Amino acid sequence: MVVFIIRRILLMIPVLLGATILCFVLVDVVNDPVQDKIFEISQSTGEPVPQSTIDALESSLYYDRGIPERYWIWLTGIGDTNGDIGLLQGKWGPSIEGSAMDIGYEISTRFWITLRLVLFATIASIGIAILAGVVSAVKQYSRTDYTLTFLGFLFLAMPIFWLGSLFKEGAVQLNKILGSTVFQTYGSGTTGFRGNGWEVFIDSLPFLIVPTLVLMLGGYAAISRYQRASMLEVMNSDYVRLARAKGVRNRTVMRRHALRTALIPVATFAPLALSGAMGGAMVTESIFGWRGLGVYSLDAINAGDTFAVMAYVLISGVVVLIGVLISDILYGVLDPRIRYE
Amino acid sequence: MKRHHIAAVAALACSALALTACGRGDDTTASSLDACIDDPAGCNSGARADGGEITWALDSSWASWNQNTSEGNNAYAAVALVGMWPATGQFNPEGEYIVNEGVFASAPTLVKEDPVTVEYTLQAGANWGDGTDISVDDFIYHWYATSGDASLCEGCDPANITRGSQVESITGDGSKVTVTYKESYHSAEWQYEEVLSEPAHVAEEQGFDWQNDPKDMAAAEDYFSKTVPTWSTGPFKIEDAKVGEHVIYVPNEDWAGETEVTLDKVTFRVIEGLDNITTALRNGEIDGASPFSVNAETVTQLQGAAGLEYQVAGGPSWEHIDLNTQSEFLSDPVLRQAVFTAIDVENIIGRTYAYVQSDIERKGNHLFRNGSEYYTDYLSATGQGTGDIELAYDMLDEAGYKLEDGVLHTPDGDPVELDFRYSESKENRRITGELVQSNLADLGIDVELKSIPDADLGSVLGEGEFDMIDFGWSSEPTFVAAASQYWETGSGSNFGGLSDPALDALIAEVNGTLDLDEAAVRANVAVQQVVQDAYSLPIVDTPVVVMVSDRLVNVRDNWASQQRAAYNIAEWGVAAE
Repeated sequence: MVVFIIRRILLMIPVLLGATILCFVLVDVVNDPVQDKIFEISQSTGEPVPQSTIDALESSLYYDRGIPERYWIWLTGIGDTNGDIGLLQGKWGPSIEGSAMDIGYEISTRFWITLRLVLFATIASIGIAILAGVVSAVKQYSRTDYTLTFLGFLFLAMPIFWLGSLFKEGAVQLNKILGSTVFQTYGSGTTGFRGNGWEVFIDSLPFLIVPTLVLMLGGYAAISRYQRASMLEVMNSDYVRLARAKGVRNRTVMRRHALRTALIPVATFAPLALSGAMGGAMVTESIFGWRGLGVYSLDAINAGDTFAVMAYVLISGVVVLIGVLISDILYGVLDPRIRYE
Repeated sequence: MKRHHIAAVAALACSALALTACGRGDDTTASSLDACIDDPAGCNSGARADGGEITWALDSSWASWNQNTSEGNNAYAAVALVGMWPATGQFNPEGEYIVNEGVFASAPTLVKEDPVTVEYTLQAGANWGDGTDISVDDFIYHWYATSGDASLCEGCDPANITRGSQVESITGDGSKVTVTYKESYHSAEWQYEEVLSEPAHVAEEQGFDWQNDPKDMAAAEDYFSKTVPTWSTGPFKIEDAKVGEHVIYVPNEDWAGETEVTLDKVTFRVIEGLDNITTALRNGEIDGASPFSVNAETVTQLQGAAGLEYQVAGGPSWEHIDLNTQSEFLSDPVLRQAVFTAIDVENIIGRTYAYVQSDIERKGNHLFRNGSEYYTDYLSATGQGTGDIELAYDMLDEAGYKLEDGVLHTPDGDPVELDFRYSESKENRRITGELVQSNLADLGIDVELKSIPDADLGSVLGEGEFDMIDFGWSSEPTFVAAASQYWETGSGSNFGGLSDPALDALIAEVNGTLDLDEAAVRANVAVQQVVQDAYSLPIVDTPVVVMVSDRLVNVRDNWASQQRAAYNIAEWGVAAE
């Protein structure tokens, strides 16, 4: 097992390198953020931008170098730099947004914001999905099964931006009826609120309810279908039939024999779902103003902020790869038929 | 009445509502923002209660605390820092310049014309909010930071150096500070120049020897870019802030201004997206916003909301179509004139901007806003923007162009083909492109519409990758620098590559007088020359919206200031019971 984990971790390195090279080239080739910055400045000041400022901008953002050199500097920090770049030295590079925007700080704080959002949503969606999947399978082809199946497909078919907007408007109307602001529609907490982890969590509850519901319903549908299929397969297996033939009570068969085995696919899917959600909550974050990783990546891509995009690619890549690894390990732990050499 | 007739009447009623430019939620009584049409600087006034809090949304973020620098100079930073920044003054919604009462006792005076020498009188007790008075050193600090001179600030990246590079010396005597400019400085807008930014004493406290070491000067600028300002020269001081996200202000007890501040707290927070802002306002999460765009959906949402007021009016930028004088076909001024003549601007306005602002007017002057004392419409008489295809074709026919099989050919026999570029997220610009395409099809010109990803507008302009392009410029009341920026040969913002020696000479004349009225006369002559060059076709002042809770008073929009509605933040308040 240890050898397997080490081998998988080592394999992550070329995967991440490949991903970063591809993204770096894609973002760098299609953008010229310095020109855009110059235009913005001239729009703002109403006056021409001095050449010395343009030169300083290019130099500070390393746009006075070619793409291969920029990538090398970003990765290693070796060469003629301003001392603010080099992943291997723990420096993420300058952001096009300005020197006050520290990419490392942004990524680390936004990681927790996104985690706060997707953790509850993923746990809740998996919980509901297991329940719905099991009920659907046990009551196969019943009215309950059809209702749950319909709801599952309904939420699966709804675009998340539409579902988000719908729930947001619903929250506003509910607030009106209640005469309060229980549901907040934008942001992840009270502006400027400071406190310890628990206080921050409590403060964020009014902001958390609606986006969590949206993410949960958007994510639950697919998992519930997995769970239903898995449960049905197990229920029709020989050992479950044998247990029933031996006179074991139905509830015991379901709980001890069927459900335990039927949970394996979902249990192994969970880390993957969580890691995927970490990088993919872009739409929900945008709609509800959560300044997490998703929004950060969207802004960085729109602005052509290469080093910020790279930071996001790296972090989300690592999270996804770790999710896949945990998922693979869980397979081995939960399913005795699988052995890692 | 048949069902489809009822639906038609309902649709008509909805359209009529959507076309209304301002109003108040469910209420049918006149809104106090309605008065802004006749009284732009005094509308929505009222008695203020003692105390209260306001949360105001900004529709985009900012990336630095230092407006001197290229990364910090944008409209959102200007709003975020409005409560504490030492601006010389600003224009009110009527276009009148108001000197910053917390810093200056009076408007600057011109004590000598050659070289231009300007004297500033500091307000008694004007200070940085930390017990230190504003002094001549602070004026010198700002000069060094914006000089563009490596011997004063090595490695600085000022957003502009137009004024800073022209300063010869700065001296002080008590509350009087005298700025002497170089011989080459002759701006009629000398009284509007920004002369202060950051506190020199804070730079010194941080160990920067900015007066003697140009590298330390740059390091001090970098420090101010990254550090949340604890100092303030304005009516408020920052209690808490995060760059690009929020600023929380509390009253500055040391403010030297006379306007009484009644609010206990003002919070600026970023909410991106018009829809998100409107929803947050309806949900009571914010008290107002003055985003830099508006659409019909927003107006509809605001109309249905109780307890809110809003107004849609021309904002701080103007839309225009520019032609690339370096392109294969448009290098011919006759073709440019014909293209502009064939474009129907009124039709464009009617199908785009008029949906959100029913009283919108076509813009007839590149430098002066409709209604300005210097405004003259130089476009209508030329036929440009009238959609007169016959007149356009006559021009081309006279110049040897030929229409063959419905396709316009140059005198050399080449079919004329053009592209039209626009930002992909700007719906009105896309529609403008389609209408231009239709207008020019009548002239036998094939126009290809090519959208631009929002982040690439600057590079498309900078590289001149267009034949025709629709974009916006800021429309502040100042005009002297604008003429040079837009049209002077070689200017980095002269994106269409216009090179007209006669126009360059006129621009030099605009910059060659200290008399504002005379400069305006000269600027208008330059506008006439640009019209003749058929280089840029103004459309409208881009509509924007201000939306506020009806519990607020003294809050109104201001097109003439980058701070928009926050320009008079000291006067903001919650209505007295």
